[in-house]
Amino acid sequence: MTRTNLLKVCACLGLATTLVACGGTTSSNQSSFDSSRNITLYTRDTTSGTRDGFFTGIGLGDAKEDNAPLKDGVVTVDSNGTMMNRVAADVYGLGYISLSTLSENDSIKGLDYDGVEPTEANVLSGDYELTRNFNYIKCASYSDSTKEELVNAFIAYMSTQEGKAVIQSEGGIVEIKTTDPTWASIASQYPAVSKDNSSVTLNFGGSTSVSNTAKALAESFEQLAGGVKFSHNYLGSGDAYTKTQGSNAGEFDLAFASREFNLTSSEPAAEGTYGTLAIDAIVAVCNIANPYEATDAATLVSMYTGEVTTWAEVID
Amino acid sequence: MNNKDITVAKSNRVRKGFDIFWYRLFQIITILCASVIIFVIIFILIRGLTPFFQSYDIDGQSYRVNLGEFLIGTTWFTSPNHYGVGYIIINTIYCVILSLLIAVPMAIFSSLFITRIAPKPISKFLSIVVELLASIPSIIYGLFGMGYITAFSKWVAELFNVQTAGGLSTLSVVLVLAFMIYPTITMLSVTSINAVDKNIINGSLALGASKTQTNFKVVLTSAKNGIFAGIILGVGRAMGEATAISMVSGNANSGPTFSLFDITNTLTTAILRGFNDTVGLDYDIRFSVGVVLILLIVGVNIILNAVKKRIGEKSR
Repeated sequence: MTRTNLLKVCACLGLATTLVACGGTTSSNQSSFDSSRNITLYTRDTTSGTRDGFFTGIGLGDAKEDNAPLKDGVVTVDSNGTMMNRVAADVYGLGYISLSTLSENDSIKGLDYDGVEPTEANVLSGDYELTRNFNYIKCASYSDSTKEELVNAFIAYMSTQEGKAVIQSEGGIVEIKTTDPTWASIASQYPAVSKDNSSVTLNFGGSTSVSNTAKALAESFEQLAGGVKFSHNYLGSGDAYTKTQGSNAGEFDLAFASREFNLTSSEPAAEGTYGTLAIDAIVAVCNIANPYEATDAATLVSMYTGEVTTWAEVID
Repeated sequence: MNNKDITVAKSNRVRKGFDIFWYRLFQIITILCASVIIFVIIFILIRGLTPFFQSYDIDGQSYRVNLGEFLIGTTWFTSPNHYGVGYIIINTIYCVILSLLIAVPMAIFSSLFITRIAPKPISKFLSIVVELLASIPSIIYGLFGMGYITAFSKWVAELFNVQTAGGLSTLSVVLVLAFMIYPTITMLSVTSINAVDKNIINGSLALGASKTQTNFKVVLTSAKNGIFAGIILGVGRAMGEATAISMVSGNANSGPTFSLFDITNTLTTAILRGFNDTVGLDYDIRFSVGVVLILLIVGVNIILNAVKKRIGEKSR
């Protein structure tokens, strides 16, 4: 009696293992691609800067605010990593990610945009156009001269070899040239950095997309500038102008935006107070099993709005 | 002699004081813990109701959310201030009901097997397995869901020649929920079946009923209050589960979804999605979803308790 029951349990366990094994094999069995199938669209949620950059870049700016212009049934994911994993798991998926993370997953591939391959070299040369700039903006004037000098030193630090290396390590696209100054060679221009600045706190804020880069830069700058402290408060690119030169001027000492400033209308930043620290490229991605290779803004728009629904319509 | 009397009286007084001290201490702890729950509810209520009464500044204009539209809306977000959770409420209830349909019979049969049919060693082993299952954190179920259950759903969908978003679907949500609530219901069922009076069972067997007849007609009917308590706990866990579900649901932006192979969305995933990156109205509205979730769980619990009471009365 006991033995037969034990056998039954063993059989059940064996069956369960087989079932799990089956699940495993189906997930890796992605070689077959049927182009008559529908395109599964993946998007980031509305708080994402990548979403903003992508839809603005392809000329579907309405879609950065909500899903109304997009096809029904678009799958929303909440991070760059999830986007990659989902497109990797879905042969018929289409999504978009930041170029810096493209190489991390070999089950997805980046699509050529307007005939240009998404590589860092092509972004730097300006050929690859689905990009957005990470910009900084400082105050027009400072009440505290130490703060002003430290902010200027920080801005200078961002374009030194050391600063650019930090930006690169956080996924920003910059070119480190041999002609770029090293921090040691320019530090003497900013006498404030050699003092003890541990009582000074610089307030940083702005875009959430730039926050990691800005925090990493600040961390490495702290030791170079007499232990200056930083307070980080990133809530969105909208704050960048408002809290440095706009209605709440002075709240931030330096702020970042993951888009261009609206210089002609709502954000008339003073000449020489803003600039670009890095470029972020956005890549449309699909599964590695998908024969689709190259796309352009118009095709992406027609896919995301549902004008085109199957892969056969875009693969020639 | 006299001295001894005094000592006894003294020690009695000390003991009494001791009793009062512990009594007060427990009372204070109980009040503190209870008030935390009340504070949580009040806090969530205030934050959750703010979007309907207070205006938010969005791009220079002030908006508030329409409560009626919020409760019956079929699209999560339309810029600038339209939110809807109506379809999400339906999706949530639908997913929980389907997962109960899978988990409850499985749980009842396995608890019968563990308590009445299996020989001692196997029953002991199985109850340990069930207890282990109940204590596995939900994120683990989420990982399992993402790795295997989505692949399984994709495979099932392919059998029906339906396309899924890489397996993200109502089916995956239902299966993950069923896996999660099965141990809870099984554990409580086992306990309540074990508590059934042996005399009733022996009586049934002595009257000539077969073992199976006894198990279903006598054991289960006597244990049904406990089983129902398990179901109520299971429903609570299923409705409140966020992490695991958000990993397999696909976060549908509109709905409701009734197809097993389409992406879906539940109240908890609506709260979770993009929560870390958002501010202002989009942040506060998550608290409103929280209020809806609390009310839904309370409502379902009241209904289930009423049903439980009616079933209890009927059998008497």
